[in-house]
Amino acid sequence: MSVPIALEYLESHGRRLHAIVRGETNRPAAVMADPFAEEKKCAHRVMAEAAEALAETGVTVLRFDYGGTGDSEGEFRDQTLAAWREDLITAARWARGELAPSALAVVGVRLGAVLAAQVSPTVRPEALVLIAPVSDGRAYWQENFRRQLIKTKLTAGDSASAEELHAAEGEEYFDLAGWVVSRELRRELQDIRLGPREAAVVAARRCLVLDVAPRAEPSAAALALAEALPGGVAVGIRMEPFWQRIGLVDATPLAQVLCDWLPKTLLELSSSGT
Amino acid sequence: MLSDAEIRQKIKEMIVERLFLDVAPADIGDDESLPEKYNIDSVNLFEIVVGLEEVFGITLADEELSVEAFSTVAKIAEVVARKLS
Repeated sequence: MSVPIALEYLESHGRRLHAIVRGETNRPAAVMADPFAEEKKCAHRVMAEAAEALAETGVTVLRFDYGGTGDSEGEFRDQTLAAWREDLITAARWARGELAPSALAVVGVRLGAVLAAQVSPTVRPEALVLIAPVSDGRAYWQENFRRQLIKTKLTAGDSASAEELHAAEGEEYFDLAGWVVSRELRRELQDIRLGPREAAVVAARRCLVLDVAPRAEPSAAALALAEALPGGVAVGIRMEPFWQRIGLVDATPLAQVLCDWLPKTLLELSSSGT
Repeated sequence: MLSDAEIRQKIKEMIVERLFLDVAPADIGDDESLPEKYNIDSVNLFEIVVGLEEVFGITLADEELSVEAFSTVAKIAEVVARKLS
């Protein structure tokens, strides 16, 4: 099946966002929300392949770059989560208006999953897919910091101290593996929480939490989150953390779960009225 | 209390699982250089650190993260044994 592909530019509070649409109008549709910084770069190929596979099933997929990332306008150092939430709302509204979908899903990866959950009361997607969502912002920032520390030690040797890196972390801007993160963005990231309590405000009719891990069973945290989400279900995928891998990762396990769940769910929600 | 051999075995199992290595845990030599033999990069090293914390219930401080200390299973086992003691 040949799926049409269109390049679009979306206006989001005064800047142009680069977007790609795979598929046709008047079909079920999905907007993808990317992860953060290096994770977005690493996840790009897998997400593009998953989008292609979804489009083959008849779900029209919109992928876009947040402001200051990819081919969208803006500088990364000027970005905030508030601005990226606006970008995601813009993308979802554009999809609702221009693609006229019978039902709309937002598919978020890592930070994108958090943003998708946060904007759901505004966007009101019929379905929400949260792929390996960031649940604790402080732990997430620490994870990024440690990865940066290890990277520094691998290149500069073990003499590179954690203390020096912590001192740099306190500056107005912090270079996180080449991504210049402002103090405000860092604070926003550290404030992230996505657990059963936050799930109470999520607005969607069906939710899928995808746990990507060395084991195929969903974690206790994923199960608890899914239980608190409207129409929530958790699924585990045995797959490498593709948002951390620069090399080639087989997208098949993720694409398969998305292609099994999303078209069927969106069709059900289309026919039951929205 | 885990013996040294048990610690090493658990480390090897964790590395194979978390790094999706296509080898049996027993095939990883205690003194083999992990970066050289298995192309361990910063991402993999981070996975090992997180894996150690999960499997052994220990917490590694940022100051304890050292490329040298995590270069072989034997050296990693020394770190773990020290933390467990």
